[in-house]
Amino acid sequence: MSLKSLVLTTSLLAGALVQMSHAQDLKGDAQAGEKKIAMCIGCHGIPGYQASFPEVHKVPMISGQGAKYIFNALQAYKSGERKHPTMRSIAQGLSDQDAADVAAYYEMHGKTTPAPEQLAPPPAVVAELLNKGGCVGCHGANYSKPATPDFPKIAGQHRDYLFVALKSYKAEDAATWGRNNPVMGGIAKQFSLAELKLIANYLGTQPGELKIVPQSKFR
Amino acid sequence: MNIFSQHWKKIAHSCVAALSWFAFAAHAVNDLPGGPSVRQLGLHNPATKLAQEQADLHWFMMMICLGIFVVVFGVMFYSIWKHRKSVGHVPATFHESVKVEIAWTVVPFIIVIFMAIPATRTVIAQKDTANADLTIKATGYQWRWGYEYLKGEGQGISYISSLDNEHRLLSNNGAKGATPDDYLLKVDNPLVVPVGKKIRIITTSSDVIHAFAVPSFGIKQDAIPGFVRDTHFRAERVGDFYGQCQELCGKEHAYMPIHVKVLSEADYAAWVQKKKSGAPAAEDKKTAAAGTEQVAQAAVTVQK
Repeated sequence: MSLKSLVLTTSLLAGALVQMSHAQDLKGDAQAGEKKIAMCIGCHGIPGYQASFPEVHKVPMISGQGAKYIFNALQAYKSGERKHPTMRSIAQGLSDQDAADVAAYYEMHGKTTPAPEQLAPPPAVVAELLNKGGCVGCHGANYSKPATPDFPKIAGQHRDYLFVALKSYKAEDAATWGRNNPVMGGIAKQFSLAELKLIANYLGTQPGELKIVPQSKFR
Repeated sequence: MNIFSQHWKKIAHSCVAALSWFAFAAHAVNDLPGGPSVRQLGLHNPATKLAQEQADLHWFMMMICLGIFVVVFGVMFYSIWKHRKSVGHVPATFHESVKVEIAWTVVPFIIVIFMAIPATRTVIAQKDTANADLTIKATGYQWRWGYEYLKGEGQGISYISSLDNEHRLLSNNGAKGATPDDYLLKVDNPLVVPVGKKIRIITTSSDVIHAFAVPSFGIKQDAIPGFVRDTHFRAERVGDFYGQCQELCGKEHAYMPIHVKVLSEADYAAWVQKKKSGAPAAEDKKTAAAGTEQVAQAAVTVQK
């Protein structure tokens, strides 16, 4: 194990530990969550819905995403670690319990067959990039089985969203957009934008567990 | 025959049901001071001088329209009736009349000017946002309002205001039974302002176009992403005033109300004190503490 990857792993573990200690006593209740998702549906439940700021991109699919990760993301928006004005306002309006409930709801939402264990091998260029980033280490061999529930499933996520997300890890000083995550920041900064796009395009075309489940038109 | 009578029975039943529903609905909801009233036809009860002027202008214009309507249609019907063919009138044969054409150009022009003079005064007063005592930025989010006190007493306060979730659930269930008077207007953190002070509201948005509007204050201003617009009001009495987002902004457009709480100066000062020393500051401290804790823990783990 190289020094770099050792540091990476320890910092990852440290981050995971802290987050766990914060959320230990929170247990998400999917049924309670169902009552708090009106605003989520407004974007994440509409197929093809695009966010307009800071960039135009499809809003991520969150149905089927891991509860722990959704919770972490909401907390990150709340604290300003992830900068996104609209998501920040949404997250600020949710108590920790609300966030846990919403997260639990979306983990179960539209859950069907798990993603295939093995994906078709990526083109050589992309394989090299994925290897360099060490993506498999956290997000899982099929990118739908993260090493700990703290990390997101990314296979099959919208390509343009993945690209914007990766790009925002490179921007830490902007006032209104960017993500300050020590781990993802370190990884994303190794790549050029063109390389990030290749990664995002590959991941976005793989079969995964994420989907958009629109609200029923009838009650 | 029997079939018909059955049909009539059904129709009568549904009419009774509809009537009783109306009666019930009328009983279930009351007027909301500072908000909508039951069977309201006119504008909201004004709470600022400008809103009063708008209401006056509204009636002034309405009366002029009514006057013109009566005169024009009166002349028309009189002419049609008095000069009808059956009593022997023959149509005039003249063509083009400079006198008439000048008259029907000049008279409306004078009427328009007559209406424009008071209206312009009010419109200019509406746009005059200078010398405000308090400046607040209202940011539209999908689907919440964010308020930031930029200048004046309370500078630095900022918070998010969103609809009470109980009301949202009530709406989801079809608003059955007795609905509260402030149905879909109740928020967790209302915008708090002092009475009698000029409040400048700067509007902007972080995603799509919203509009900040409080009918009782006579204000409505689009909140446009990437742009800054402003409006102002000076509330003349203490109380609660309500508005809603007035630019279609997505699925929850109907669920982002505006609640302005107008307090007396002393109460406002107390609110500012509480807000500055109370909850949000403590929260900041907590996150700061959590941050240091995180760093400390990380360091420990690396050392291990």
